[in-house]
Amino acid sequence: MWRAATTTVTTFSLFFLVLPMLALIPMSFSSEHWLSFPPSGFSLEWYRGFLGDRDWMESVLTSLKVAVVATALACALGTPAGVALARHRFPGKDLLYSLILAPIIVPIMIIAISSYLMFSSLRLVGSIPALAITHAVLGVPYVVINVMAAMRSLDIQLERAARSLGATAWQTFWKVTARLIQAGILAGALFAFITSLDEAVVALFLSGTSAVTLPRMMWDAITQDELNPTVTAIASLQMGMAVIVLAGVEILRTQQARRAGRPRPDEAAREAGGRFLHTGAAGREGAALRLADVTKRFGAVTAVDRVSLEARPGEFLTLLGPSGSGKTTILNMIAGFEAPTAGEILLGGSPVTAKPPNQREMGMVFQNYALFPHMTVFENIAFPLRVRRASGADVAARVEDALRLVRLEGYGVRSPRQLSGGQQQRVALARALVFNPRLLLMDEPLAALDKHLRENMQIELRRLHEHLHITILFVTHDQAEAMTMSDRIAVINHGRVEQVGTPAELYEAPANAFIAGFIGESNFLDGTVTAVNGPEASVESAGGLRLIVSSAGANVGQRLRIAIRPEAIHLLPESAVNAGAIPAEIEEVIYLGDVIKCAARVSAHDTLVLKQANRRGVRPPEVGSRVCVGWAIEDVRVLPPSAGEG
Amino acid sequence: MSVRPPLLRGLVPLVPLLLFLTVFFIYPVSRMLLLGFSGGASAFARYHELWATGLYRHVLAETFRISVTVTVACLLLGYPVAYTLATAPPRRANLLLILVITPFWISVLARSFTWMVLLQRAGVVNQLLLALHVVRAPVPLVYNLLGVYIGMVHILLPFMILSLYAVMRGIDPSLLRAAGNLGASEWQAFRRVFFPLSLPGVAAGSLMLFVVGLGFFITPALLGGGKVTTVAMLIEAYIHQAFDWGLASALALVLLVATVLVFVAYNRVLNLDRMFGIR
Amino acid sequence: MGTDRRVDEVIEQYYLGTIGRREFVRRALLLGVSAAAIPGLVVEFLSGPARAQTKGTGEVVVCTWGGSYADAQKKAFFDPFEQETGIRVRVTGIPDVAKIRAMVSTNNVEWDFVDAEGEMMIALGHDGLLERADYSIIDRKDLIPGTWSEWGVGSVAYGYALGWSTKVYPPTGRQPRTWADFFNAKRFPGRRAMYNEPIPALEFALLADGVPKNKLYPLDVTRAFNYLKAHKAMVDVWYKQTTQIPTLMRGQEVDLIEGTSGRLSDLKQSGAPVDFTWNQGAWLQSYWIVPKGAKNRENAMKLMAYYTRPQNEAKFASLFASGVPNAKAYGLMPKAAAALLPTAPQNVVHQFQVDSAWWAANLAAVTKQWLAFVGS
Repeated sequence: MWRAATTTVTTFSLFFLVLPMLALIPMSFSSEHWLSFPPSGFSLEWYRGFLGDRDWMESVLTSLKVAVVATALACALGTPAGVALARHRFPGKDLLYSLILAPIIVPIMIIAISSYLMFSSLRLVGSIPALAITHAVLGVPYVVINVMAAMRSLDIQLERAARSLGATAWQTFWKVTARLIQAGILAGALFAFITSLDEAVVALFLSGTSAVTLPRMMWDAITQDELNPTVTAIASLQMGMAVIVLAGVEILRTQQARRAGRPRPDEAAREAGGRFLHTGAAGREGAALRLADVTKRFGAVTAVDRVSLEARPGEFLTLLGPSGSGKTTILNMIAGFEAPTAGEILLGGSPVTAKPPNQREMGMVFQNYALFPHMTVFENIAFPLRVRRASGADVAARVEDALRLVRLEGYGVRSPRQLSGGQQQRVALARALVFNPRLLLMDEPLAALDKHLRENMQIELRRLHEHLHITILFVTHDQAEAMTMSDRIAVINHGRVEQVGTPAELYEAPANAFIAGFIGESNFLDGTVTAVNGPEASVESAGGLRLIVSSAGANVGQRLRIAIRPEAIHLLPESAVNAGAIPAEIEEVIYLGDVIKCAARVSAHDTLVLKQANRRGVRPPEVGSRVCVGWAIEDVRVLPPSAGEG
Repeated sequence: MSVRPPLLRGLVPLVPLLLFLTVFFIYPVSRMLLLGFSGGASAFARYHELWATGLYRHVLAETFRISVTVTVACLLLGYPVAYTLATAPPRRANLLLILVITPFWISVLARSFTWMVLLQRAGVVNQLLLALHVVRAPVPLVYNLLGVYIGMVHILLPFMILSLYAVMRGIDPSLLRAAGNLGASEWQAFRRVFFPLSLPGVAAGSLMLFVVGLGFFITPALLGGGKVTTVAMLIEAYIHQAFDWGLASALALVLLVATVLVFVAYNRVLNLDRMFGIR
Repeated sequence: MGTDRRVDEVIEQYYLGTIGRREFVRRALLLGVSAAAIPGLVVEFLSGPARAQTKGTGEVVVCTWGGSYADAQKKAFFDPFEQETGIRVRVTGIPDVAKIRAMVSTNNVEWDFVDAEGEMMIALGHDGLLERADYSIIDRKDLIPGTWSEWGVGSVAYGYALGWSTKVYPPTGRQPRTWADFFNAKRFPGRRAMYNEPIPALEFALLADGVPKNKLYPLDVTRAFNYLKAHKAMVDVWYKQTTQIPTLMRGQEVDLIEGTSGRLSDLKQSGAPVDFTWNQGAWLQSYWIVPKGAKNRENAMKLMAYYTRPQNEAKFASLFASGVPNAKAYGLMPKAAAALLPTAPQNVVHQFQVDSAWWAANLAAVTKQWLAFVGS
């Protein structure tokens, strides 16, 4: 019933819209000298009278000239303005926006008269420029509105990608933004064009003995002569023209869509295995990156708090942290998309904090790849070379090299839409490397890939890194990924660097509970020191367990947190309780293939998770069985409680 | 170290447009509106006249009333069309789009006169109504407020449909599928998922239509039979018949201020920024 | 060549369309005109007694009302004028007082020769925005009084009359004759249309209210508006353009109408079921004016002089039924054609002339009241 209602109203509305058009056409063939419907007789005299009349035809030409100039002007002025308005926030923006829309709001009569007064004193009345300028004023709001609407669906990453690849603001606008919003620009241009063609009020004043527009002539004929079917003949011709243009656009669009083709799924399977990074020629040595007390505040919120970091030349440094830790903000500041509130960023020893993104010579791979959808793979990769004005032959050669580097030879003609996720990833990589940057930034680039692909890619990136000696700054929230690929890892939490070290250092010696929990798994127990005996201390946990830990600096009565890795806990038979092991009951057993994980309840409060390798001959424990658990004292970490631990 | 504020650089593209509008729009219009203040004391007399005389209040109220009615009518008629456009398969959608866009290309004058012919007492619409025995005598469909509504709705409906369509297109169809999967009927899915997401388009379209409707003068003049007077018609009459540019300018200024107030209030309440993707 | 009266007669008949071209050539040849001289005959005839001084150079920009009206003017005046004098005539539209004021004040006058309504002319002249007509070259001795002024000679006279649908009010039954009839809903039930202008609605209202024709001016504005307000509900359509009259009548939108006699007689002639009466009709004179500072002032005056020629006026009236200023022109027209014109002797007696001077002084104030009246 709901569906029926919608269809009924839709049909009615469309019929209502179309009705006058349907009536116009037969009316234009009437042989009577007045407007009537249904018409009587058949005559072409109105068409003849219009098409054969020199004055009418001249007015059509004038109208077209005015409309073309006005539309061009409106687009040239309105498009950059719409882009700027869509991208930035600033005080007074409302007012500015209202001002730009004002020509629609101000009654057309006022605009007509005021323009007339102005152009009259300039002796420009009855000229095409005067009409075109005034029509441009009327058309600009449509262009701005449509451009802004199109900007809404434009991915800002694409503009950032272009900037990071070396394009200036103007190049970014021209090569990327404008192309992607061209549907919006065209829509605005269409509105502006039609408004100008149909505009009668301004023409009433500004159309003089020369520059008579079609609506003006129609208005004169209607008000002074008889109301004869000439006006319907003109309207029928306008309608015919519209249908032809629109049908033409539609045909072009279908042709284009057919040519674009569909992506091929079989290659995704092929690349799941195998290497896909060709270790070819190496680039120049990577540069050192240094962050000195970099801080970023957004109003009252401090997103990044006095971060100091160093990535050595050619090092693979990972920024690891949970969502919201500030790592992406740090990356954006390094790339130049955000300006630090305080602090300095240096590349190769020289400060880059004041430089715009396109001058920093850093390559960046974005999380969603940010490939330019309106360019082929070849053009995407060629982009940074083209904006650096490399020669055609040079460009072709280097793009081919880059494609070979990521094992995508022959894919140059494809469009990004036709590639799988992994392939797009590789294109993004090739694009970021083709201009030999000294630093490669990667913002969670593997997050969108499936597990298998991701792991392969991790290994390959590692190999690429070894071969190219480029400095890589990698951002991720996946600690396993960080451990796989990095030379060193910087753990970020709440905008601060918690610890920097090699994977082993972080795993074996986490500086606080957060890191212990974030990297690898840990069992945590809170307790109080009950006694200190030389190098050892006794701790009673909240659940009543008695534990022995190394005593470094501990005092009786001190509260602390201890962490034990699951793989450090051994399963012992029940009888081991005599040797000091802790009795436990197995609550859960998880079979993971390579390891067996168990949850063992040791007290009313505490359950410990333990992991043991699945070796042939060793039977996994059963749920409900009573066992003992034990560990070496060296495997117990005593941790200071860290702020906001996870 | 100083980082040059990127904001200032980012606003440079606005400058050519602002210069253009200042020279060719703000300057001449202000000059003309200032005519409403010419003559010292008589300026205040003018505004007092505007306020005291029922005519202007009446005409202003009528203009607003017409604009609101037309906007609501376009919304009711246009929403289903936009919805159909947005949810139809691409080929049919494009065909429908052509139907919606074609009226744009036809002169407003021609359309208004065609309505006159269709809606007149001896016209086809009345003939149809009589033949179907819906009425017993021809209904006055034109040369009155109804005729103005019909004419204005016909002109503004495509604008509304396109505004709504532009936003509806961006609504992810998988959301509706998810709703269906979760147990919602088609109507419920529409009411609880689609409709709320389409509201930005509704707001933006309504505002634009309302504002444009306020400035209409050709259509009400032709189809109103002299019984409908809008502010723009009155301004035109003051210029062409009464030759009182001062009064005309004063009236224009009143209309402009009222419109701007409506626009700003609308913007504050509904936060148009987000609708136009500024944030 | 030569002033053979019989040749003149033949040329006149051809020019006025009484005989066709072939007949004209036949008779001319019969009268002894050489074949080679025939094409030039018409031009010669139109130039009349020596008007050598009207030859000139350059152009003149005429602003007139467009459509078939302007076409008729072109055929009857502008084209022959151009042929005779060599001055190019450029025609544009539409006369607009506001524009003229703006043009003159910014000293950028685009129009040299404007077809203006009476009160337009008086108002502009009063404000010093017009050039005075140069009667040293313009011959006004045969012009009907009231059809010329210090600012210019008459272009056309047009009238407003009471029209009705003969379907609703056939000749066999009652037909409205006076404005009191027009506003009498009991005797003449039906729908009415009036022209959305105070001129000459106020006059008609006063006539309907019982004011005699010769006591109309100065108009009792209050009385007129009171009458109109009392009868406003009767009027279904207030139309803005006179071009709507045919649509309104043919579409049977209204049964009674206050309309221009030109359009009403057009309708009647073309067979539509419409009739009208000259009784209590109003006629107005339009004048040619030259805005001050016109770029081609001399040529404009020459054209104005040309405009008083009776033959051209008669030709014009045959193409577009309206009154013309030169009394002699009426004698040159076929009787049937003359009967359709508001200022033809047999018609003008039933009507009254609108007092342009009064309107020039009062139009602004009355217009505001009119706008308030219609808008409320």
